[in-house]
Parts: sequence; C-alpha cells; structure tokens
Amino acid sequence: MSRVKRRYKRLVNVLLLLTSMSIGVYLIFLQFKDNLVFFYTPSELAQHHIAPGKFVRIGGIVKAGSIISNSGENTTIFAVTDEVSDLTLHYKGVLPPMFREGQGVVAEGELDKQGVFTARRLLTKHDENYVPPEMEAVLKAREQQGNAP
Amino acid sequence: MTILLGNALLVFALLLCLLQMRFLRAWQGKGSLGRLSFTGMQEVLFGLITAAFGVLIYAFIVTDLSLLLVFQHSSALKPLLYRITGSWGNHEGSLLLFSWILSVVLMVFSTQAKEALGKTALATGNAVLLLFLLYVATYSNPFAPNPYDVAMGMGLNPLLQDIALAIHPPLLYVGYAALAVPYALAIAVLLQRDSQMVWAPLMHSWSAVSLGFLTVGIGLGSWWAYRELGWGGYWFWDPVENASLLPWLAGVALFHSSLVVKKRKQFPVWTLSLAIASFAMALIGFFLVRSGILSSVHSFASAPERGLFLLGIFALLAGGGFLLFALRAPQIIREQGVGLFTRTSFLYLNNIFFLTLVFTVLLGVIYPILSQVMAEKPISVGGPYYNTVFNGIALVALLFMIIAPLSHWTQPLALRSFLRTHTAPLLVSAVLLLLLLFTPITAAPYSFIGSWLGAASLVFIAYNIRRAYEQKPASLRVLVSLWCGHGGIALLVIAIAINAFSGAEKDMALSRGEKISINEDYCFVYNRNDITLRKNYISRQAEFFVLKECNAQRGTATPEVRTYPIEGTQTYESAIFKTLVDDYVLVIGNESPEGVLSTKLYYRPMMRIIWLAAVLIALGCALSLIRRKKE
Repeated sequence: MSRVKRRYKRLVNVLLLLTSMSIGVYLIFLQFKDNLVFFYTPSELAQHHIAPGKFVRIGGIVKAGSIISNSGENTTIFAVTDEVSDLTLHYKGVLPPMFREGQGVVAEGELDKQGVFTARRLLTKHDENYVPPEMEAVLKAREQQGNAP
Repeated sequence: MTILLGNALLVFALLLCLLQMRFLRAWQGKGSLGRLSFTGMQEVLFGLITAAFGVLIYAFIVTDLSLLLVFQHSSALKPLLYRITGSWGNHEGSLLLFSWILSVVLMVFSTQAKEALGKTALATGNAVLLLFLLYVATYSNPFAPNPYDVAMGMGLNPLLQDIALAIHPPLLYVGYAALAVPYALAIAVLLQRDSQMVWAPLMHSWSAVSLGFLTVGIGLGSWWAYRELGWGGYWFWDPVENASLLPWLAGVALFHSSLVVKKRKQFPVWTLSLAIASFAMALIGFFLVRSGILSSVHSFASAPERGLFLLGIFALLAGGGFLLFALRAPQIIREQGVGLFTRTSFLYLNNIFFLTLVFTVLLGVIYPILSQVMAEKPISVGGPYYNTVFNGIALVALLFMIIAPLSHWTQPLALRSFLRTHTAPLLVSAVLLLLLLFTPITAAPYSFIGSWLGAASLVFIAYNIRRAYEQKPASLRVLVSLWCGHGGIALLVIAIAINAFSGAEKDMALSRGEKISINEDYCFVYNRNDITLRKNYISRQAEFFVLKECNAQRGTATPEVRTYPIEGTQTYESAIFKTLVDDYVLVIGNESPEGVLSTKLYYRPMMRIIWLAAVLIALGCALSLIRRKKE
C-alpha cells in the first residue's frame, strides 16, 4: 500500500473511531441526564415546584405525632419536616429498621398532582455515627433549633 | 503499653520501607546498603507490620480500652470472632490491614523481581506502601490513646457482625494490593525506558490474582447485601459497590491486554496504561469509600483530613503515573498495526469495551460528588442509567467473548470456514433463539439478548470442550481456565437476565394463619412471633410455614428483627427459603397492637447460579496461574 493510501486509510479509521465514540458518549450522557435523581428538603420541594410524576429524593426528620399506620393494608402515612416545612408521605410496605419519630429519613418517590408524595423506598440512618451528607445540613438545623430558646 | 508498642512497630516499618526504596535506579548496588538482601529486608518489613497488626488484634480480643479504636468499635460482649474481625471493621484498622496485605504482596513479589527492572518495581511498590504507612501513622492511627475513662466499649455496628462481611474487606484488599505489582512494573518500565516486554508474564499473573480475589470479594459483599439489607437485591449500583467494580473492570482489561503482550508482544503501551489505570481505580475506590464523601449504606463515617490525604495519595500515584506514561511511553515502544477480525483485534475491542464500562461507572460515581462539592446540589444517579448503558455495552462485549476464542491470533476469521467448522453450535444457538422468541422474555430486550447470548456462549464452550477432548491440544490448562472464566461470565449473564425479568415482590400485612405467595409453587403461612434475649441483642423472630403448592409443608422460614441496645441500632435479618436455584426472601417489619405483621416476600430466581458463576470466574482466574513445570 502506498504511503498516501496508508495515510488516507488511517485518517478514515480515526474519523470512524471519533464519530462512533462521539455517538456513544452522547448516548451515554443522554441516559445519564435522564436518570439524575435530585434531593430536596420539604421546603426546597415547595420552592422548586417539582413536576408531578418526577422521581426525586426527599430528606428530613419524621415529624412527631404524624405517623399513621394502616396495618390491614400495610401502608403508613407520615410527615417529614425540616423544621420549616412539612411534607406528607404515603408508603406501602415494610418500614425500614429504626423508623420512628424524630429519625432522619430519606424517601425516594414521586409527588402526585394533589401534592401527596408516594414513597417507593425509605432509607433511615442505620448507625448512630453515619449520616448521609445530604442529611447533615437538615440535622444541624434541627440541633440549632433545639438549642435556641 | 499497646499504644507504645504499636506505634513503635509502625515507625520501624516506615523506616524499613524507606530503606527498600533504595532500589530506585539511582541507588542500586551502591555501598553496603546496596548489598543488603532485598528479599530478606522485605521479609523483615512483613514481620514488622504483622507484629503491629497482631498487637491491634490482641487489643481487640482482650478489649483493651486504653485504645480509642477498641472503645469506639468493640465491646467485651461481642462474640470472639467478631472481636477479631472488628479490628478491621473500621477506618484505621482496615488501613492497617491493607498495609499488611500490601507487605505480603511485596514479599512474594520480591522473590520474583529479577534484574534492574524487578528491583526498581519493588522499590516503587515500597514507595506505595510507604505512603499508606505514613497515612496510618499520622491521620489514621489505630493505636491512638483513649482520652475517656470508660468501663465498656461501644460495640461493633451489628450490620458488620456477619461472617461474609468480615472476610469481604481482606479479600478485596488482596485484589487491590495485587494491582500494585502491575502498577509498580509499569512505573519501572517507564523509569528504565525498558522496551523488552519481559514484564508481561508477571503482570498477567498478578492481574489474574487480583481479578480472582476481587471477584470473590465483590461476590461476598453482594451476598451480604442480599441477606442483610432486607431489600431482596444483590446489586444496587451503590457508589461503594461501584468503587469495587471499577478496579475489577479495569483488571479484566489488564488481564486480557497483558495476555496479548505475553503471547504476541503487541499492545505494550495499552497494557502499561491499563496497569496504571487499574491501580488508580483501586485507589479511587479507597478514597471514595473512606473519605465520607459518598452517600451510601456502606459508607464509613470519616473526617475531612483523612479524605484529603487519600486524595493526595491518589493524585500522587495515579497522576504521577499517568504523567510519566504520557511523557515516556511513546518513546519506548511503538504499537504495531492490528489485522481486522484477528483475535488480536477482538482483544483490542475488548480493551475499548471495558474502558467504556469503566468510564460509564466512573461518571455515575464522580458526578454526584462534583455536584455536591461544587454546586451544593445533592444528586444521585438512578439504577436505570447503569442498567441501560452498562448492560448494553456488556452484551456487545459478550458477543465478542463468544467469537474471540474461536479466532486466530494473526489470521483473520474467514466467515465460510467458520461456518463450516462450527455448524453444530451455530445451529443450536439459532434453535435456542427461535425457542426464546416464544417465551415471554421477549418483553425485556436486554434479558432476552442476555439469556440468548449467555446460552450460546455455553454451547460454543461445550463444543470446544468436545473438540479439545478429540484433538488433545497442548495448552489444555489455558483452555480450561478460559472455559471456567468465560463460562462463569455466561452463566452470570443468563442468571442476571432471568432474575431481572422474572423476579417479583409482594407486600402484605398478615394476621396469624394468613398466607403470602407470589406464584403457585410456594406459600408462606404466618404462624407466630417470639421475642428472645440474646448475648448482645433482642430478637423478635417470626415463624412462617413454607408450603409447596400451598398444601405440603416443606420447612419453615424465620425472618427476624434484631435490636442492639448498646449500639442503639436495629437490623432486619431476612429469611431466605432456597429451592434448587431460586430464592424466596421474607422480611418482616413492625407488628401492630392487634398482632398484624408487616411482611414482604421477594421471589428471586437463579440466585444459586449467580453465586456459582462468581466462583467459576474466580476459579478460571486461579487456573490461569498454574504453570507447567518446565515453563
């Protein structure tokens, strides 16, 4: 093969590689963007006007006196608060360990048109020491509230 | 006393590490220091770190509360086994464990390191160990004194009191540490400007060791999550899980790439970069898991300086390594061209596939961190991203996994002769495809393709086993290791495909005597709920009768809720009823005052195959290490 032809072939190969890589990377980023799950505290959720049906994460403290269990249907309704706003959550299924009033909890699910949040999955602190980074701010605010007169 | 002894041993180990670094090219063979046996010194170093680690384990066994670590993570009430394993169930202890494992790896490597190249590599390995020992001695010291006057320890997180989770870190650490050798070899090659490629067999062997241990380590972690987290799943694309997957993916690429260097003296530049990248992935894993920057059920609580030091180690070793590579690699070796449709070209594609998989997972892990750190916006990456992208790429790679072993190193695969020699397995695969088209699995494209390709792969492997039996090739050991490894992957894909498609779950609130079921095969009848006091927890255990086809009792299932008063936590112990290959997982929650029990049942098919596949893959890695006597 002559030098020119070899160079031409290499150029074609490189262009082909770059094009397929670009398409591949673009497709990956597209999928990625569609699957980003944002985290909100109840007040942030109210501020941001999240579209109903969008899958999000909510974090906060389980509000005292808000837990209503319907043991017959295995459902629980409770409120999550960040000391500023509350949000009512509906959850069906086995509650996670350590779920109780005053516990930090992260819920994944969607808001419906009536403003009711259906939680698909609940995560509670499993360890006295470990706190998810998103929860730290919420818990710190609560401590300060507790300390204020 | 323990504090003094432990710290003294660490300091001596540090000094000896520095001494072993004398083998960096500049100081080789000079003076009396140069003549000290490097294998002997490596053994002494191993002895020192073993002693230090032994001191720590001893402190845990006797619950020596003068150590802060023992106070924070142990108690005399824990069973002996968990007192021992608890020594590495925390940040400081686990880093000392890793340093110890690295010292073992370097000790073994010192017997293999020959000539100037080997010694430079050993010195590089000791430099890595030095960094970790420095970290242990300064920001992560397990022998820190306890400033509090206490009568008992705080106990070990009950989630960690599980045998699988106890062995999981040591196994993963062997996997990470084993990658230090390819890294050290690569750095040595770049430092020495060596173009001979004698390093390839060693790099290939150590990548096999790493891959085998990583496979078992990841499998054990997955098995633990499956049993302990009560979510009925074995993989959640959790950042910490991904952190261990990254070196595994890079390790697969390294394993195959170094094989090509060994056999054909091609891809040396690729392989050198993969060696640096694989170890970099292991280091990223350390940083991500230990620094407290990740939001995960698996994460450890940690302080910022610790994270920064680890980041520094990563930046130095990975950044420095890649910089060295960028500067020197092109001058040392030139890559040759690759013919299309040869085995070499397929393995080239393999490198690309696995690097893309690494990139995919890395994006999902790093982006949330960047988002949190730079924009204060907490984000998580949903499972569907990984399942769509990762599985898609993996299936394409699987197709090539079937074809590549059937191709020739230098001669392109000719379609006609391929069709002629492989008519039988091709026909069987086509029939399988037709059969699958009539099953409901076509509703899930990935599951459909995955189960078909996995089955086709097994068909081709079986065919090749039969041909090998007839033709008795010379390199049978290599073939067997390939069949185990690739067969394991094929089984894993089939199992995951079916598990994803057919798996189901159901929530119910049950009164006594009521049943819960997902299919007609098995019913689970709630019988009773008892509370008992154990050594370090209170157990609320429910008994379920397992009825086959809802009439004949096959056994009982006893899911449990454990409350640990000292640690102040609670865990759910799921009950797993196993059939030949499938699992039914029962989890219980709260009981209402009227005695109604919150229950969840998961149907998880093919679980036994998943664990078997992991073992098979690891076996394949192990088999690739066996050498014939004359080699």
